[in-house]
Amino acid sequence: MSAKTAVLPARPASARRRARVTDLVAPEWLKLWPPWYTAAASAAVVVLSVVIAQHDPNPYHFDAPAWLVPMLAAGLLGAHTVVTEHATGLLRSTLIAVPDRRRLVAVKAAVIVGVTAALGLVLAYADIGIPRPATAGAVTPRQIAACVALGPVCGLVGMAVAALVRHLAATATGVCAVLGALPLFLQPKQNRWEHDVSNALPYYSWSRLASDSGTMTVPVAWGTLAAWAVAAFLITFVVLDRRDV
Amino acid sequence: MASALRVAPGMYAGYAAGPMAWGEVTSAGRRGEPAEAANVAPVIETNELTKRFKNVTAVDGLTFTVQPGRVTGFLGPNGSGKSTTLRMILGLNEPTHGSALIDGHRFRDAGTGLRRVGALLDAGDVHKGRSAHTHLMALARSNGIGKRRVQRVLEEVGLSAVARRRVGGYSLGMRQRLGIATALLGDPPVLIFDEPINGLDPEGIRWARELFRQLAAEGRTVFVSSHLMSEMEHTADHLIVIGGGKLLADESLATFADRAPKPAAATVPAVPTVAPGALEAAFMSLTADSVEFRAGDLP
Repeated sequence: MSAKTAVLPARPASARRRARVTDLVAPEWLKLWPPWYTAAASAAVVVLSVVIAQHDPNPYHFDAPAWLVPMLAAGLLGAHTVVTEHATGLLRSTLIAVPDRRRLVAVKAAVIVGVTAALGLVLAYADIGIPRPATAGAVTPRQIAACVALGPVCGLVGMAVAALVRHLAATATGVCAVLGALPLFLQPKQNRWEHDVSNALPYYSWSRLASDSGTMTVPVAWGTLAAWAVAAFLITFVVLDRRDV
Repeated sequence: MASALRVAPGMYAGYAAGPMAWGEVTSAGRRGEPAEAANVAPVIETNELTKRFKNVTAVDGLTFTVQPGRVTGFLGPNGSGKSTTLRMILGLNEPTHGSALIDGHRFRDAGTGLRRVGALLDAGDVHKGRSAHTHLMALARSNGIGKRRVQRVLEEVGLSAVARRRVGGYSLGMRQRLGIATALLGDPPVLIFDEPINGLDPEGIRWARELFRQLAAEGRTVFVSSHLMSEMEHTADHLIVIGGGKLLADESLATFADRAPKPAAATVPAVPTVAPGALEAAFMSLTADSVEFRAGDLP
């Protein structure tokens, strides 16, 4: 035996403890990005959205086009948590550490929902409070809640696209297509089917809740956002649970 | 080899006290297992294990058992199904037919895994933009393992001095050391290594050999895949050999060696004979002052 080879000291059995929920969440946060980077990227998204929102003539509504930026940011962040694990092979190391795939997906989704909801909340106040402080008090709780819900919906959609596609560039393209391009191509003012399909997009559901635009009812708009979130989570859940890696 | 090892009895006190019950860290009830599972020997068992990819049968009805307390070599030519078998054992691939169990349970059913099984499958299974320290910390935190243990395994594999550097800048040998550190992180009773010495320098190869033998001497189940017969000669007590996805041999090293045919008349000039281990010892002596990453070094 080499004189330099050390013997691994055994940890006494008493030093072992059960993994707690925070133990499962913490590594996903570590892996999301170095936290300063997440904070800097989030700040950039907020500033960009606020700058775009300055051009909105209506002081009581959130500027829908300005919110495309955080929608894409949340979607790409969600996709990032899944696609980088696939693309780098890290997923195999992760699944040896946490073999229960359902638990892993649930924890990843929880982290993304938390981060993007916080981003939505900050952005909601920044969007109205910074450019139009005089009208900030007129914003309703429903509008704020819609802004908070939008990020998690987009984050979960990003995770689902990444789980299906797995390739970095194709995933980014897919997220931009679903969350950014579809609302631009399918607008409610055109023919009937386009009207119905566009109303089923998260962007227009959110617009109805946050900007009072569109014809759908408030419950239908909430239901649409919830359906996207649930469907996206289930896709990620089922695909990652069944796939060989 | 084994006789040269200095292995202190009872070194792995945690394991000597009995491996963890399978369901200990899992959510209560759903996958929890009875406490008597703690007394089951931590063997790896496959039963008629089969994997088909469309029209290709990568693994075909493999049945074997890997026992604790010895190094079991897993041999086979390239494409014989070794890595696929290991992935099925670790729950990364779903068998088409049959089963792969560790300690009597599917590994996929465990909530957290590092304290049950340590594995190095591919040194590249890491985010190249993160440091070794961040990579290990993330995995350790998911299993409730502390910072000190991370530091300890980094020292053990000789990477503590470069632990804050991005893994993307590591050589293959350094990544292999990081992979071995990952496997050791949870101090597990079962260890699985897929081609672990690829890219290691002679000092690293010697260290890895001794580490595997020491882990086995502590009573752990050590399963090492390789296609290098010469390496297994120095490491393994028992061999499982596959070819074309089928089991060819499951026997001790000595029994397997007896299969060697009598040497035929030489058709090419023979390589000059040297004493066993002399070449490696000469290399180690010559390069002793220039080894950059030495296992067991303190920072």
